[in-house]
Amino acid sequence: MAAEDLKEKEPKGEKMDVDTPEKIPEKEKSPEEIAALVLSDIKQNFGFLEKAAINFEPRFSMRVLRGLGALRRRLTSDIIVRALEAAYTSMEHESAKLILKYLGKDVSFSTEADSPSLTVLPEIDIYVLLLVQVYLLDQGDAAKLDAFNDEVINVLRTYNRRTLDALAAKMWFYYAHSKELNHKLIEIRPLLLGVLRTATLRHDTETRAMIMTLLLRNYLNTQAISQAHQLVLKGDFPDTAATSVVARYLYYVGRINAIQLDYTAANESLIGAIRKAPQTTHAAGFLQSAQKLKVIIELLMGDIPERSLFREPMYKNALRPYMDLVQAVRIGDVPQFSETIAKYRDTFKKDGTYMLILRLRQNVIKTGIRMMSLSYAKISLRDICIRLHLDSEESAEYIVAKAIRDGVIEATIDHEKGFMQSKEILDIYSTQEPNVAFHERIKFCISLHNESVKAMRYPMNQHRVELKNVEEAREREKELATEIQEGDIEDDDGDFDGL
Amino acid sequence: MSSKSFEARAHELAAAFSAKNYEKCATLLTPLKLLLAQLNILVPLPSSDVNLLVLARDILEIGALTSIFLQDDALFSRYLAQLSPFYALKDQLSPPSANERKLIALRLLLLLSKNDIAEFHTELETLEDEADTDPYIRYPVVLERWLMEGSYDKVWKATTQRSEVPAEEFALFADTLVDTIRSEIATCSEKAYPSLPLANAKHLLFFTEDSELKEFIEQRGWTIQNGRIYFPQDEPDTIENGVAMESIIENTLGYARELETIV
Repeated sequence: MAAEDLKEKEPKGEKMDVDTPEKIPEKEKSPEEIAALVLSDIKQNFGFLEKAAINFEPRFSMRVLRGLGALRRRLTSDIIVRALEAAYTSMEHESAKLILKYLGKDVSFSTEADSPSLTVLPEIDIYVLLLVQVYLLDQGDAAKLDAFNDEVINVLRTYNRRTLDALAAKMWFYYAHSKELNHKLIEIRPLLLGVLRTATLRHDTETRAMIMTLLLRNYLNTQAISQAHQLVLKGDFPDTAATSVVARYLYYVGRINAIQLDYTAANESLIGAIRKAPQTTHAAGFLQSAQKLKVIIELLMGDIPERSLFREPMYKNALRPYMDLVQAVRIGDVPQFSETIAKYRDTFKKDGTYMLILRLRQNVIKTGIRMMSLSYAKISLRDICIRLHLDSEESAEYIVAKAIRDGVIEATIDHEKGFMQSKEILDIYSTQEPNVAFHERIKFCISLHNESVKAMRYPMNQHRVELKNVEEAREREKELATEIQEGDIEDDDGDFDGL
Repeated sequence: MSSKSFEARAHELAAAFSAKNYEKCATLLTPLKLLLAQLNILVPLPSSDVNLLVLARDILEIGALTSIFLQDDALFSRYLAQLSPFYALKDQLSPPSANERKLIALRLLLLLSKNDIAEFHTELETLEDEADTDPYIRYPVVLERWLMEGSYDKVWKATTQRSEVPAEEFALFADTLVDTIRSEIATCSEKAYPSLPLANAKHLLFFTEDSELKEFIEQRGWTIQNGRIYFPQDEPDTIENGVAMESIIENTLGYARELETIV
């Protein structure tokens, strides 16, 4: 299936990574050229990281991280060793020793400096370690990666710098990812919770958001839904975190809400998750699973998802089983619904939507009753029973009564004669409905506006620089004006002689 | 206290339980739990002795079942909370528990009878594979499906007929569940029928005695005329318009406030 193909295109096991790596047009190049290019990229990144550390400007670190996806595909152990030379003044540095140990290389070089200092900028140190982490992950040696990660995390925890936050968050992501690959989900919980506490105390937004997301994923993977719910309730998720992390967080919250029958909240979270996730093929896996869940939730709320969604190339194949399901629910056909479930049982189980789908049965029946109430002014309970393939007329009566109470249809039942009589169809414009819909839309627009205002970024202290510039310009103008007045301009000619 | 007397007490408890002397079980359980705490196996630790843990698990399971028979829901929930770390270790504990599924199914049933559907589904999500196959767990799952869909007659049959109930503990919830479906049917009837003959109502609400029906009708505040029940019709129109007006004013003021901040 093409859905699998789409997922395959992503780096292995990277379904939960929804970052967008920058696309760099690649031409045919020799390996040496590529290596040189990658190395220069890495060195440039060192420069950015330095800038980030000095100016206290997280944008530069973010930029470096955005390039990580493109970089990782071209990493080799030789490049890493050469990057080490650039990063560390000596191979005696702890991190350098560590990396060489795991790469299985033995390189020693001496620098020109007579007394090599062992200090290196923490940002660069962590960035190099992160590169090695990614490299080992792509090598597919899970046990080695795991051992390396344990040591890397120890290095990371010795630092406490706010300029490191973005890098640290990324590092935790790969840490948790490797633990997941090694099936050590439960063991890492205490550590993650501890880190969450530390990050909260240090106002480390990036790490805090990342760890919360990782914990949620961890809980949901082991079906510990109530713990996940407690975390969402008690933990305060920072709104200002990176968008991709927020998208992931919202997706997990949506899952929890759906399991706990809060479909409205689940739908809102999922809409947020889908909108905030990058709309590229790199995030296809994430978007597909979010859309799958959203389709089910819409159905559970009694809505029918848009047909156009299933035509989009990204979703066409992945959502195929779900489209069949939607069709069964839309026409209220109970046997077709059961058939669809039986046919795609394994797919649904793999997607983790199976239990939610089983809840849809009542919706199918309700839609069936609704269709009948709209088509017939009067219909016998017996006919309803036959059409909906219910077991007995008695059941049919109770089901119809429940549908009336739940507001699905407007009708009354005549028990003695055994039929359902539909009431006149209500004019929707005489009810509150349009008002409510209108209010919903306005509310959405307003919150969109407010969020955009909040999302605007201003470079730190930049206004002071600008103020200074303005003042300087004014000074110069003033000088110029006085010079013109005093007629000093001729003196300029004299200056040219000196040139 | 020595571990010898601990085992002897555990045997005594098991004997009392199989003799269905639940009162005696309850009195035996309290000192046993104290012993468990003293032996440091009330909560399983990686260092605990596996044989002792199995014993502790069995004691707590008997406690849970006893609390079901004594109809102490809060106590039952507490026992299950204590048992859950034992069940998380199930790979290491042998022999595996024979009662685990039954107890979980009972918990599901308890949640269902309390109408705590959100918690019910949270619990159920952990049992994806068992939901269709295990006879104990299937019972509450099917009941929930019928309740949601409105097939109250099936729920009635499943709870009251002995042959449908998988184990005797499950029958203890029958009364609560029947009460639940009766009140569901009653609220549905109020909306669905303009009026209903008494005899039919008795049948619909699964009453066998007229007196029971009379009492129920009085509780709900329905009126009887010429052998028919008339349901109170609610007159929402006038009140609703008032509410609508208020909400419109509130919304409009809200929009004005938001616009003010934008412009």
